[in-house]
Amino acid sequence: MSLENTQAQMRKGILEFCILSIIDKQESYPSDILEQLKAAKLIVVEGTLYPLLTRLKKLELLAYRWEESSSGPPRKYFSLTPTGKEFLNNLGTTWEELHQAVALITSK
Amino acid sequence: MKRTISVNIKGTNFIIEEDGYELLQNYFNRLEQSLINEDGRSEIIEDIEYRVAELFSELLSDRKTVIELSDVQSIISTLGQPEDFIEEGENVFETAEPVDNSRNSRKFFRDEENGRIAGVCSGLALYFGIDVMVVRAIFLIVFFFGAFSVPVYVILWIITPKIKSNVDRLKTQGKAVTVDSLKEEMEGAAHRFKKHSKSFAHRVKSNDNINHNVSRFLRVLGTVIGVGILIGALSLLVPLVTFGLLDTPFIPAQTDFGFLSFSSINELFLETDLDIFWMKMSALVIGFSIVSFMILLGLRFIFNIKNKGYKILMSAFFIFGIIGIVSASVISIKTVRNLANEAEIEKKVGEIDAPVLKIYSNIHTLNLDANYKININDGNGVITILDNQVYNEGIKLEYRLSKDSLYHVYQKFSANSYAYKTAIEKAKNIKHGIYIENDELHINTDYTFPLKDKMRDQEVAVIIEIPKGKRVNMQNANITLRRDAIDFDEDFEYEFQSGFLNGSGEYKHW
Repeated sequence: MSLENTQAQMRKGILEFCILSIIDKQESYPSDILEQLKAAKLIVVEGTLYPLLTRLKKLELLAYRWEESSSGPPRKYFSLTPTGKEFLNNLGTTWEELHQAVALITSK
Repeated sequence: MKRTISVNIKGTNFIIEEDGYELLQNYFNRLEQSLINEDGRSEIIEDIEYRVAELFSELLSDRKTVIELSDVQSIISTLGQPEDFIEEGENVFETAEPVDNSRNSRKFFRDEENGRIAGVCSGLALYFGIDVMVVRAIFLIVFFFGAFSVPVYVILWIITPKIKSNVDRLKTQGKAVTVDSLKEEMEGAAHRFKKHSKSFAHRVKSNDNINHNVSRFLRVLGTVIGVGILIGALSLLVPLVTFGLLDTPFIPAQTDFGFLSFSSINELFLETDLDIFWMKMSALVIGFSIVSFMILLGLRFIFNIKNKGYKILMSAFFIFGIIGIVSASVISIKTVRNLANEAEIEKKVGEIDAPVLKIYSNIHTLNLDANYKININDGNGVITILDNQVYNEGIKLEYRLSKDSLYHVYQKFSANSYAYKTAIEKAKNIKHGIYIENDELHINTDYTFPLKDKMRDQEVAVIIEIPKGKRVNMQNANITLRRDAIDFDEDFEYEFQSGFLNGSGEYKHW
């Protein structure tokens, strides 16, 4: 297994958590989310986001509304549903636990 | 100088260079194929279309009004290749690979990677740019209607080299070996591998070389079992069509004379024409359901089919089979009920005054013109059907004490039916030849009844009342009535005796 592969696996696991966190902070449309994810170097290609968004919406963690844009096509603004908020809280706890666990194990 | 076209993407018009448009179109086609198993496919595509429209809008300004090929390329690299970001669900990307029809330097290789036995069919499919299923189907058809395709397969197996590299694969498809096409092929291979790793055999395969051989063995075994089932189905289909549908006689009614078909057996036993019709339909439904079921099962083993339509079809044939069995059972039960009531009628033949009654048997032979004959192996003789009459052999003889000094002879006919009344009708329809001549009794060894009465256990017995102290002589056997040893009553009780005269005229006393 290559380094790149492992890195991709690690990133993939936390991608949903990060997407939900971004939307939780502020109602966002895909380009917003992409900008932040790219800035954080969490995704390489944009296409990754769309199937994830659709899946999260199917799980009723996300809801959206349309908004007209002056500079281009209309935008889909995503927000968290109550279930989505709860889901995110649970993920947050898990992340904290993982973070501590990894810190504990990797500390010398 | 380049041609441009105007394209509407999600409500916004863009002017795009023609080759850029083609690239974009191709990108969305591949995206759609990659997402074929994804639930929200159209929504994902739509979202990406919005993103493309947005990215295009950002590119355009007062000075730049046309989307160029390079713009499309950079946007596609931003979005990523569909196969890079879609990981879940089966990916059918490789079957939808655009097929290059240019035949330049096309070369035929075996494709063991995608093959089921040795990859001959897969290689041919790649070569002709058609689906491998089509090639396999053609092979199977040819296989069944002329087994020569097996040697052809083996010959092709031996004489053609197998694909060892992706360059060979491209050559098989007749594609130019360029960096781009190789890259495409590598991506395709990555997806084939991903897809295959989902199945058990391939999960085993990825472990080591021994397991590779095991998985190949399993694949070949699956195909062999599948072909075996198909051959089984076919070998059932042949008798089903010839005997079930075409009504060819096949039950050896009697060696030398003829054969019974399925319909004529039904005709012999089933009460009404409707019963006969339903019995035949049921049998055909059962037979064809089993054959269809087996064909589907065989195809499943060979092609690893998993889809909804297949399951529905399997269930349908299963249900048809059950319906057939139920309706055949209903008719059988109905027919058995027709044996419920037995009726007997007696008819006087005459009296004889002689010191000894001599009995002779008349053997009837109506061999040649019979429709068919049924050999009954318990020694009762042969049942012959001729001109809607059933000829049965074997007459029972019963002896009892005469009340006077004369021999009295009676015929007793018996038959069964669902009601006593109809049973009597059937008993009355039995005809048996018997006559007295020169104080001698002549008994035919056979009797007849109409075919429309069906086989309802029609029997004929001849009752002979023997005067006290006298005897009956038959074929050197003397039959006397003995007084019952345990009876001390004044009224003499005589032992009831009987015998049987079979079709060939031999008498057996019981």
